[in-house]
Amino acid sequence: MKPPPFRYVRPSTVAEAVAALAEGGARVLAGGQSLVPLMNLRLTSPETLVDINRVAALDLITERDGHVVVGATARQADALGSALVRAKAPLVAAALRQVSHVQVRTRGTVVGNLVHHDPASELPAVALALDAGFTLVGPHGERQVGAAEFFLGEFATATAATELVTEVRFPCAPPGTGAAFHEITRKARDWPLLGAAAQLTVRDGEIVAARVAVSGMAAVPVRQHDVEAALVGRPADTSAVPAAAARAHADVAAHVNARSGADYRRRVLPVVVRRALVSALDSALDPAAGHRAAGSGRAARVEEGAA
Amino acid sequence: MTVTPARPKYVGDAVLRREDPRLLLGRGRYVADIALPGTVSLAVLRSPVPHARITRIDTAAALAVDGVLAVLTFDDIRAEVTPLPCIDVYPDSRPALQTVLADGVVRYVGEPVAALVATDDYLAEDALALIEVDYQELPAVADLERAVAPDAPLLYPEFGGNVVNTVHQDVGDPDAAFATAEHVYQETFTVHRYAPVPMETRGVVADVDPLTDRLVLYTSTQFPHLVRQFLSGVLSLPESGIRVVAPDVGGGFGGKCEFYPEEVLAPLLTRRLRRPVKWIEDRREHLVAASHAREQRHRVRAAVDEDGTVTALDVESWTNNGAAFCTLATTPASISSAMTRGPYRIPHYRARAHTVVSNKTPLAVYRGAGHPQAALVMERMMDIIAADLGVDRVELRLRNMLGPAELPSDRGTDIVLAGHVVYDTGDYPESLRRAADMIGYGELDAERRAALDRGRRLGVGFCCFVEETAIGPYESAVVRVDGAGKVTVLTGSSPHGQGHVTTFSQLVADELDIDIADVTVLHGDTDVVTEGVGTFASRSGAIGGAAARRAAEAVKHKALAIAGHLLEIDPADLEWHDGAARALGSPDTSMSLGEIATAATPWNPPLPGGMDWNLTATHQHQVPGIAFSNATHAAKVEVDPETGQVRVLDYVVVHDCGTVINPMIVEGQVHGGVAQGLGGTFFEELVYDEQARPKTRTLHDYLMPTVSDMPWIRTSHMESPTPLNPYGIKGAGEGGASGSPGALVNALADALGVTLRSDGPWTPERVLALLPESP
Amino acid sequence: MSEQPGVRVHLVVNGVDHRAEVAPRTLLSDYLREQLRLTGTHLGCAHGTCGACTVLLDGAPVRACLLFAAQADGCAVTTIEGISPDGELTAVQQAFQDNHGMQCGFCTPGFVVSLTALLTAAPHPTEDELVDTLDGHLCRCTGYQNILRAGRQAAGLAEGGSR
Repeated sequence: MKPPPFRYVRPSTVAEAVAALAEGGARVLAGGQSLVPLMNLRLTSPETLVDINRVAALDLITERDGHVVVGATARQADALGSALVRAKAPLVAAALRQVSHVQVRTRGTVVGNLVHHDPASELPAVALALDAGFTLVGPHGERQVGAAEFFLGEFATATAATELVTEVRFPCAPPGTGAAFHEITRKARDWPLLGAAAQLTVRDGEIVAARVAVSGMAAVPVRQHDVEAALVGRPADTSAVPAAAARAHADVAAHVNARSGADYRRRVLPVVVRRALVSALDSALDPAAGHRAAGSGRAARVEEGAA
Repeated sequence: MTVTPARPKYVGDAVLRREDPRLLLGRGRYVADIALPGTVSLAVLRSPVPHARITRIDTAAALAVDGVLAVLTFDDIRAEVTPLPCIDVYPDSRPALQTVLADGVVRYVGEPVAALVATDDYLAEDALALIEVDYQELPAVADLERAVAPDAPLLYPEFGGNVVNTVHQDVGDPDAAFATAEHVYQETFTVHRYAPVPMETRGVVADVDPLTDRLVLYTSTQFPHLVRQFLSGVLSLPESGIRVVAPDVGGGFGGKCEFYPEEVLAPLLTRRLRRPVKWIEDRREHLVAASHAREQRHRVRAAVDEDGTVTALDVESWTNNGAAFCTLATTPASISSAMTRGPYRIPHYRARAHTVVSNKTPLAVYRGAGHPQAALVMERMMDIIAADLGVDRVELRLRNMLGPAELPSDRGTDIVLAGHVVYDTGDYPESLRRAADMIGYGELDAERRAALDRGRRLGVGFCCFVEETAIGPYESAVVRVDGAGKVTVLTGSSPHGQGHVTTFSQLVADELDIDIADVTVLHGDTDVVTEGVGTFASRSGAIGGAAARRAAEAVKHKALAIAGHLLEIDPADLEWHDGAARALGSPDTSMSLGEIATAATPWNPPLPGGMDWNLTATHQHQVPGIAFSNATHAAKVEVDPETGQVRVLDYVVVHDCGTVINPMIVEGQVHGGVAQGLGGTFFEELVYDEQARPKTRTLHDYLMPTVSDMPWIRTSHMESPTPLNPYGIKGAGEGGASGSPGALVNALADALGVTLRSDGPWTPERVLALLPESP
Repeated sequence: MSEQPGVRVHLVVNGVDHRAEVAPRTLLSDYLREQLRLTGTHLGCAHGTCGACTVLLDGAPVRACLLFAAQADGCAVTTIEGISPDGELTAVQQAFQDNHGMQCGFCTPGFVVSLTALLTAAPHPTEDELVDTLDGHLCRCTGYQNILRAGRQAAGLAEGGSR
């Protein structure tokens, strides 16, 4: 289990990185926590690896225009340890806490996890629920893609082989927001079988906004507009939650996510959604609970980094 | 001569391990860490198909790569090797022996097809892909039931069937018992396929010693002396021409109690290339090329009287052996068939235990060998009978259990390589009563209700078992004292994490009444320790430990004789105290161990009675019979009925392994075994598709427990010394794994209120499927 | 299959400067083990699951099997050999011996390195933080109970039973 040979390129600017990608046969190396295992197993053999870890401009976690912006090399551990992320993107923090292990999150990046797009992974559902935005830079310049258009299929996103995703932007959560990610795993910290991302905003005793998406059901995360609609305008207690959760749906793709069958996921989906909603509501009503749930990460290294 | 028994100072104490500092500082030396100058890398091309005829192998492209030094196929070595040995064949076994490389036919995915040597690991893996092999695929079979069907594809057409061995156990008259039984229960249980998965994969370094022109093989093994013997046989090379070294070994659990093709390939290649050849198994190949374990199917009938007495058991079982015999092939079937009745009387018993070949990786022993399967089957049966009769399951067990007064008890069965089954000592009922008490069996109803209020289903399960330990045939020890009074112990039992250095030091230090720091224990190198057997079957502490202490005792007797001679005191008037011989009633007249050892070295006055020079003794401890340890495991689990997730809330082990040398180490063995059983019950499974292609290829698929998955294990020690061992010691290495699947599955069945007939693994998906979907 | 041009790297490993040219595909774990002969970093799976190869990269625990040596250029690496340069057991290492938190020892360096990183960043971690760190490692011998005991001792957390 040794990786195949490749050409190693280490640009220091986005332009250099994009130029290297334009030569073809290249993959971006950011955290490498998904790519390198695949290479060690020789399941993938890129001709060139473009190591973007020295592109300083990509190493940021910052607030801009009402969004929490996470650059392409910001580590999951940094995001988890970021007070900004915990305060303004609590759903990201809640999900990150369940992503892999401490020792992987120190290297693994938020953007890399999204671009890799394992359909059972937590962050794609979070990005979809929050209508996150992605910036892609390629040979023909920069373009913006929304989460709803970003995830195309298992391990496939709108990112072309010659494009670099430079950042992801999560809309800042308004005051009174609580978030939770609930997932089912076979064992502690294993890959999830399925999961639900939920973010609820409460004002004056009423649920005023709801964002819900599920992972692991199909080739892409599935937004739960019906669930959201059944919650908005309802009192900020759990009375509406069971009925709303029961409206969770997804065209379960049996072939996707072979770690469990379609019947299982279909049956457990409303349970997972309900539990995520209950936790999200709890944290909306008691911010301390949300803070506890978000857990503690390593202190942010790139807090408020320069763009 | 009076020998005052040394006051026990170390045995029985939780002495901290002497092995640890070196390992904690990163100074361990595992096979992969050995770097001989000029070492080259061996890689093995393995069959990607489950069953095929090899019609062509072309190695030219691989050989043409700069840095590739050799490629071997079976045709290149045919004249130099015999098949790999199997040591537990029965007289009528069909010899499904494996060749070092595939001889024209491959029978499982992972079977070695060619061996390639290159200047480094990266290059070797690159070049493997250039070896061209044409496979003409043959029908394959993975499933046990399919393998024994009349129209099954045959792995060895010359055998006329896939059953390659059948073990017979016949006790009493089961037919008569069934004819008069009040109730007859019939069930079929399945046990899935596990892998031992030590954290260190296998690995070898082979070299030719330029001084002696002998082969040197460093290998990650549990039994270096047997590797020397097997390698000698396969290469038709005298044992005198082979040195085998087991350095630090990173776990084995039975998976390294095997002799493997790579242990022949590396020696063959080092002799050809005259360079050290190194092979380190990677994790992906480990999962298809190292021995698998456990997979069995049991059809069980039980005859039961009105009062719940089980009068007879009739078992037919099938072990899915995979494609060929391992070094230990029939042992799992032999043990499970001999030990199914566990602690219960069940006077009439019949077992037919078939070993069946299929197109899976060869299967061998894994911690507990056949015991976990046997215990699961018996203990599931007990719960099923209890539920049907409306008898409490603890009560039903107690009614059928052998009491201490009934021991020794000849069970009428036999275990291959080990011998006849005669339970020696133990208090099985007390073990169960204690476990029931510790797990809170009396308060279970209240706990169940409380769990239901939380939306959870709670269950408790028990598993009582008796296990074969401390098997022979022997173990060796040499104890040598130098002039400084420092003691060297050589043991033939080569450890892989069990802490032999500590426990054997405890035994020897106590025997000689010296400081444990003065004892050095050496093992694992057949040139240093010239004879030995190895570490498996929970044997080392009892057999290797006894050999070491016996040798120390002999040294002490010799020392007293020498001291008596030099002090001109009748040895009968000497006593051994504080590492010295001293005159009775005159403690100032004494000679220390070092003084005596010095006097025993050459160019001193001759020793009395033509005694051999030097203060050294050798002992070979032979085993008169199997020592049987026993335990009760009790598990408490909680099921989330909405998701099928299971949490183990509490876990109790009451175990009895005779005299305990070091309770800390015994407890560690129990913990590790329980974790392996828990892993197998809930996560671990080697999955094959219908065409016998393995689907479990990485540790992302073969899921093992981590800290969060484990309950806090509470242990209670009972000590029933065995008369079969001079120090009362039985084995402790495997019980944790033997009892845990049974206890956990029974607890899960109790929680769910359903009859479970397998050890799962009980994933959330499988558990939920047992629960009706709420409307 | 042709090997690609080498990459010049400069690493500070256990406080010692090392300059070398490495093939791009050389894993950090192999560089440490084969070229620097720091064999305490063990390879248990080479796909990022077992944690035996954990080292500190600029103080943070990482899987050395999932990092190319070229990526560590300019970084400080601490291996198990650098955890206690003077050969005296650190409090973390001593806790493993005191609690029998190891058997075969193969996984142990990874646990020690991770736990050392945790306690350096947070000398008084919570039980959850401790478990989170330990969860990133596989051990096949101990059943983890005594590793958890060792972790609690090193972290100054209360002993005791179930979590």
